[in-house]
Amino acid sequence: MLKLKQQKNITVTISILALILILSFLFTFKLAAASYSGELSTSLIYEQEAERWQDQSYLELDYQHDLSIDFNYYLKGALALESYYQQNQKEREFDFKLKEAYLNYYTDKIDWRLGKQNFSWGSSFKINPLNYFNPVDQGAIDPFQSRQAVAGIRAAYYPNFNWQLTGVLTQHAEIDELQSAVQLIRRRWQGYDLAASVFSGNSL
Amino acid sequence: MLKKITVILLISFFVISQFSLAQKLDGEQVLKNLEASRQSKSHQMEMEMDLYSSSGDMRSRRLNNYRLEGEIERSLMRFTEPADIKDTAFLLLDDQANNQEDMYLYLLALDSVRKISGSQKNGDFVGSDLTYNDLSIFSGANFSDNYQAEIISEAEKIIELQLTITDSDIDYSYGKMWVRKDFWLAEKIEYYDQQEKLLKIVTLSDFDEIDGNRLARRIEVENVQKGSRTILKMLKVDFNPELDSNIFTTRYLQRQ
Repeated sequence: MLKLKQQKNITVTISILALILILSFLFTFKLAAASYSGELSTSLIYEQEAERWQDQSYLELDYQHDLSIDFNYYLKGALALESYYQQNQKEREFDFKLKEAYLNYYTDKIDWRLGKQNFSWGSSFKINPLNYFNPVDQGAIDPFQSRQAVAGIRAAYYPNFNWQLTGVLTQHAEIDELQSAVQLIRRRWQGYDLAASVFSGNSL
Repeated sequence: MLKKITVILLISFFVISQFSLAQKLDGEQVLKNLEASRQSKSHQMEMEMDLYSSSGDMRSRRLNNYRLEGEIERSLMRFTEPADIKDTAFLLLDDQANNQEDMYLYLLALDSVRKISGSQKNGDFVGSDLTYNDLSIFSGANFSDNYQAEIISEAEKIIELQLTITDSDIDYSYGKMWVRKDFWLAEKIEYYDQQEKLLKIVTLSDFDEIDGNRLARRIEVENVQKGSRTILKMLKVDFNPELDSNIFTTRYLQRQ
């Protein structure tokens, strides 16, 4: 486990990079190199225990800007408007979340990703024992939106097609502690893909 | 004199019969003719995929298809529209020499690369009426890799083939194919399930020839049992473009 001072240094570094991202977004905005999309959904839920109706409108927007062929950044934000109805009472809540924000940088052999992100290890969907980093919202209506991004650094090294070595350093989602892990993947071995990983830190 | 005429007639009859035998096709030769209709080493296509449910609802998608021949045949499909499926990608690597075929699916929502193997290859490709195995054929692979063919009937313009499945991963019991002799392209294929009931009808139309390569610009796959249809249209086709082999990697699937 790294010392507290080193954890703070990493947090400061990530914050500086996020600031650079915002500034480059403001000063280098070019629609031709950018792509964006959004999704609007609404849902009506009855909470049995609280005996109330919940009406949720959810707008998710994502934006990607390519600064060069090997360098881009990605933002995903969500606006949620929730209304609660109980007997004659009505409450409203408005919430904005920055769900993901990271930089991608690609070299000849290594792919880097820095920022608030989902770390997708393992290919299973709902039950994923290799999900060391991202907490899962079990109550999420959309299962594809259930994982919560965390800040961290990921580097994936590809010496050739058949091998991949990935290292991850993240901030624990719930406590002030760093987590790290390394994964080695061997593809197309006798018709199988094999993976082994080592994790250090407190699991979720 | 009579002897000479008889000898000449016998020789002529022998030569003509040999010539006829040489021209007689078999199923294997028909499949070779099908493969010869496309000689390109690579291709790049922009396609539209329209999915019709049994109730008639339609969803439309756009995708790009890339293919590169070589020791390992590589094929990549990547969706571009609509936004909810954008960047979903499918990678196929077919190593014929080692009898190894690898398929990978990338879902942007999960940001993970998943290997498609075994019985999963008979699953539907992103909700369409095509299975992953079907994709390997329609993205340009050779029929002879997965089927053996026998001629059932031959007319002036059409040859009807019975297809025997040679790939144990494919879930069909058998198939039938109708091949046009003018183009040496299939115009209709029927697939039968394990109970030997008709499952799918594939209709190919809008035939074209580009740079000496023949193709069907419209492929309709009808699932007779479910009542759904998938229509693939080739909007733009480019044969023998320069393609970077690095795009046919799992690394590239995940790259934003």
